[in-house]
Amino acid sequence: MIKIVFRIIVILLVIALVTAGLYFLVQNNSSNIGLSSERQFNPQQTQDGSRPAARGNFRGGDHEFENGASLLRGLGGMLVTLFQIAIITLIVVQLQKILGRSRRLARS
Amino acid sequence: MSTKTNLILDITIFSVFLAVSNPAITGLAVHEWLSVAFIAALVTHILFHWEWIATLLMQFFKKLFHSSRLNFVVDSLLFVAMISVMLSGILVSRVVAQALGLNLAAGPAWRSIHSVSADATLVLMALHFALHWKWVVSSVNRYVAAPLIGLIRRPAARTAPVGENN
Repeated sequence: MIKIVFRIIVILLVIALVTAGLYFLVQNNSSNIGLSSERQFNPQQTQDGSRPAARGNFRGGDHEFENGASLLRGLGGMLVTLFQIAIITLIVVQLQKILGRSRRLARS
Repeated sequence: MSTKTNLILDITIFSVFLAVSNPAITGLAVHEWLSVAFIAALVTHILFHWEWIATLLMQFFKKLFHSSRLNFVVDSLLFVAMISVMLSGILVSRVVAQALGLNLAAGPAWRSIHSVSADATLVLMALHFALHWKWVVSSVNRYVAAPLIGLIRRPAARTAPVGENN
């Protein structure tokens, strides 16, 4: 039990370290190039400093889902994601097979 | 931890990942809260594979190249990409930040980082999946396909006439 707690603490510490590292890296870089002032560069911010209504831009798209979930569009997106994963998996597995064969041939 | 438990956990994580990576299916609020919950899934996944990670980490510098090293590099990059998605997601979040009473002054860079790291996570997740393909196939065959085939065959065997096997 203590072992598991220790492992969880280690994992959380690593997550915290990576998070802190990423945060300072991005904050420093964005302030160096003058992007720290969000209001100046982000036209989406309202006058009182609050954030505008929900607007999805996950994975770079301009998917508007502020009116709630859309099952049809969501399922379409899910299929696209699955297709992308399948294509990459197929390519890597085939590459591994080719590499395996060439290694076996080289040995014989 | 048994292979069956690992498989169930991995299928669950993958399903949640699919739902989280398509916020249109869940809506913004569920997308944000599910992403926060995903941290627990990530920790559990690492915890379940602790021995494997520890062994790889020890052997990392021993050999110049082996497939486990590639696995380790991909997994580490996936870990960083996932943390980037979660961190940037929390920083640009509206529902979670509001619920927790946080006033996060995230710069516009975080929005781009959220998109880029989400794309990177998808690619790395696919690579992670591909590099563990043999394990996935053997586990699915053993714990999903074989029991299903057994279920289909059993009723067929029951309904078959007694003298048919002679």
